[in-house]
Amino acid sequence: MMQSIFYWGSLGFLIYMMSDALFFLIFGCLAFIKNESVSNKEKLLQEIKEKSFIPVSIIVPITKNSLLVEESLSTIKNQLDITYEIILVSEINLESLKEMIDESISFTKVDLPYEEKIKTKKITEIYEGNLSGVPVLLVKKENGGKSDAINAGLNVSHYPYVFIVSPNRILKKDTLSKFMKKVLEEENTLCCMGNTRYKKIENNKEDKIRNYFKNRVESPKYLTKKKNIFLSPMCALYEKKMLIKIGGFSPKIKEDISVLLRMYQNCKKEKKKFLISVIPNIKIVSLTRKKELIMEKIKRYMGLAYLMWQAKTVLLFQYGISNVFLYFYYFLYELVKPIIVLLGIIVLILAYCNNIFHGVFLLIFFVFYILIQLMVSSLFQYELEEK
Amino acid sequence: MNTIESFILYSFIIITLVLTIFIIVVTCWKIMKENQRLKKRKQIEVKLEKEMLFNRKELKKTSFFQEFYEVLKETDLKKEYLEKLEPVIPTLTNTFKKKNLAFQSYYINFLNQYPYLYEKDENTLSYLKNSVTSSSIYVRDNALKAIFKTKNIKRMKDALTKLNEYSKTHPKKLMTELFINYTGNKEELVDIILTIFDTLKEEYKVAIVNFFSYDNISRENFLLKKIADAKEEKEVRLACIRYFQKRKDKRVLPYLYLFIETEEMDWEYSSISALTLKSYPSKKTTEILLSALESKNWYVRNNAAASLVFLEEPKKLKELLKTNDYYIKRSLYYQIKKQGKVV
Repeated sequence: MMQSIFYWGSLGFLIYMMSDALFFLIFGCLAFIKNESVSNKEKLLQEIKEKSFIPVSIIVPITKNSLLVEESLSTIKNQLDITYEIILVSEINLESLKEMIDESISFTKVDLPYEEKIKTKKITEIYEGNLSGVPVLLVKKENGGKSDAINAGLNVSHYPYVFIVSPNRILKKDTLSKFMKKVLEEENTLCCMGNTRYKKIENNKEDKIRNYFKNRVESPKYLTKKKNIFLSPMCALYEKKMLIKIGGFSPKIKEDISVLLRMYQNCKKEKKKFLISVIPNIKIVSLTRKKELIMEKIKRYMGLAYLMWQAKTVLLFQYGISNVFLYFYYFLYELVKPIIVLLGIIVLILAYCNNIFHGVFLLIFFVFYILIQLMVSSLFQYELEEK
Repeated sequence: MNTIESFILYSFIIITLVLTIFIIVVTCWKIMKENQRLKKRKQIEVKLEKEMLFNRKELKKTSFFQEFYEVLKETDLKKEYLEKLEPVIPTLTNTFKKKNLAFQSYYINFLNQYPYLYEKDENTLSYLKNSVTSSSIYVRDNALKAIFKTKNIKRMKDALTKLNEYSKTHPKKLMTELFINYTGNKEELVDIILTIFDTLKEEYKVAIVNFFSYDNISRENFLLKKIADAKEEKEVRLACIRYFQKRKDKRVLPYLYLFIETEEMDWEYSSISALTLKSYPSKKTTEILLSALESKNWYVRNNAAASLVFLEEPKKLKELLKTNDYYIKRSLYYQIKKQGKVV
C-alpha cells in the first residue's frame, strides 16, 4: 500500500516538474520570438518625438524597509526628454527619507491643494523639490501600507497617466518613453508593463550565478497579448482615470494584484474597448536582497491567492479562454508550487529509500530539468547584460 | 530502469536536444544575417560614393532598401544625384505597398525626406492618400507628413478629410505638430483648414486651435464664434478659451465672466476661464476671480487663486489672506509660494 502511494506520488511529482519545464520552454521560446520580431519592427519605425507624448506622473511608494532608493531614483530621474513628475509617497520622516534619497536635495514644504479622489490615510505633509530638473513631490502620510501610499500618490498627481514603480527598480533611460509611445500607438491602452528581471544583491555585490538561475522568463505574459488579468501590476503604467474609477489599489491586502481584474470587469460592464499591453523590450531590473526577496515572495503569494479567489468567475469563461488556462497555470505552477515541491521532494526521498526509483534516474532527471531552465535563460541572458 | 522511467528520461533528452538545436540555429542565423548586412552596406557605400546608380531589382529587396536608406541618411548627397532615383519610385511604391505596416512606414518615411521624388507620381500620391487611413499610427503620421511636404493645398485638404472619416483618431499632439512644421504658406493652410473645420472630429478641431495658439495665428473672430456656440464640442470651446490667454482680445471677457458666474453649468469652463483671466487685469476681473475663489470645485478655486496671485499686489493679497475660509487660504498660500511672491 505505502509502496504504491510513494510510487504514484513521486511519479506525479516528476510529471509535474516535467510539465513545468515544458511550459517554461514553450513560453520562453515564444517570448524570444516575439522579442526578436518587436526589435526588428522597431528598427523600421521612426521615433516619435518625446514632446508629443502624454505627460506622466511616476509614483514611488517608499517604506522604511526600502533599501535601494537612491540607486533606483538615480535611474528614474534620468528618463529621456519627456514631461513627467516624480511623486515619492512615504510614511517615514523627512530626515530619514533624505538619507535614503540624497541629502543634498532641498525640499520646500507646501500647502498643495488636492482632490481626494480615493479615500486614503491622512496626508500630513507635502514637500516640493527638484531632482536634476525633474519636479518632485514628497508626500508624507499616516501609516497605511503600500497600496494606500499609491492611492495617495494618485490623489496628488497632476498627469493623466501614472507609472507605479517600487523603489528597488532600475529603469533604463528610455523606459518611460517606450511606455508612453505604446500609449500613443494604441489609444485604448489602460495598462502597460515591461519585462522585470530580478537581480539579487548581497553586500552590494551581485550574485551572478544565482541570478542566472533565478531569472525565469515571465513567460505567460507572452501568451495572451492584450487581456491577461494575472500579470503583476506593481511596476506598470496606468491610465489614471480608470485607476481612480476602480478605486485604486486595495489597501486590504499587502500586495494588491487584482487591479487588472477590476479594470477588466469595469470595461466589460461599460462595453469599453481596452488593452493591457506587455512590451517585451522594456527591461526593468529589480534589485533585491535576501530578506526583501522572501518578504516580496510571501506578499506575492498572498496577493495571488486573493486574486484567484476574486477571479474565480474566470472559470466560467467570462474572461476568455486564455484566462481560464492562465488561471490553472498560475494556480498550479505559481501559487501551490512551493507546497507541491516540498511534498514532492519528501515523497521522492521516501520512494528512493524504498528502492522504487533508481538514484541514477533521479540524478539524470534533475540534471536535465536544470539544463532546460539554464538554456532557456541563456536565450535571454544577452538582454540582461545589456543593462 | 522501467518503462515509465525510460519514457520520462528520453522525453527530457529529446526536449533538451531540440532546444540545443534551436539555440544553435538561432545563433548561426543571427551571425549570418549580420554578415550579409555588413557586406551589403559596404557595397552600397562604395556605389554611393562613386554616385553610381542602383538598379530596380536591388532596391526592390526590403533588406537592401533598408540598408540603402540607412546609408543615405548618413551620406550628404547632391539633389541632382538623388533625382535620378525618381523613375524607380513607382516600382518601389507598387512593391512596398504590399509589405507589412512597419516596412510601409519606413518607406513613407524615406519618401517624405525627398518630396521631389514623388510629387509628380500620381500612383505614389494616391498610395500616400490611402495610407492616411492605415491602422498603424506610424504609417498615418508619415503619410500625412509626406502629403504636407508636397505643399499642395487641395491634396492636404483631401488627406485631412479622409483622415477625419477614418474610425481611429490620430493623436492631436501629432496633428498640431504636423501643422506647426508645415513649411509652405501657413495662411493658405489655415484658410483651407477653416473651410472643413466644422466637419472635423473634436480632437482634430482641438489640434487646430492649439496650432493657432502655438503659432500665434490670428483668427480671433472665428474662435469667438466657437466660444459663443453652445452646440460646439466642449473640448473645442475650452481650447478656444485657452487661445485667448496668449492672444489677448477683450471681446472674450463677457464669455469668461459668464462661464465663471454660471459655474453650475460646467465647472471646466469656469476653471479654464479663471486661468485665462490672468491675461485681462481689471477691476471687474478681480471681482469675478474673488467670487470664483469661493467655488466648491477645487480646480476653479485653484485657477482663480493662480490668476489673482499673478494679478494682484502683495498688499491686496495680504488682505485676502485674512479670510476665515480655510480652502481659500490654502489655495492662495499655495499659489503665492509657487509664483514666488512676497506677501
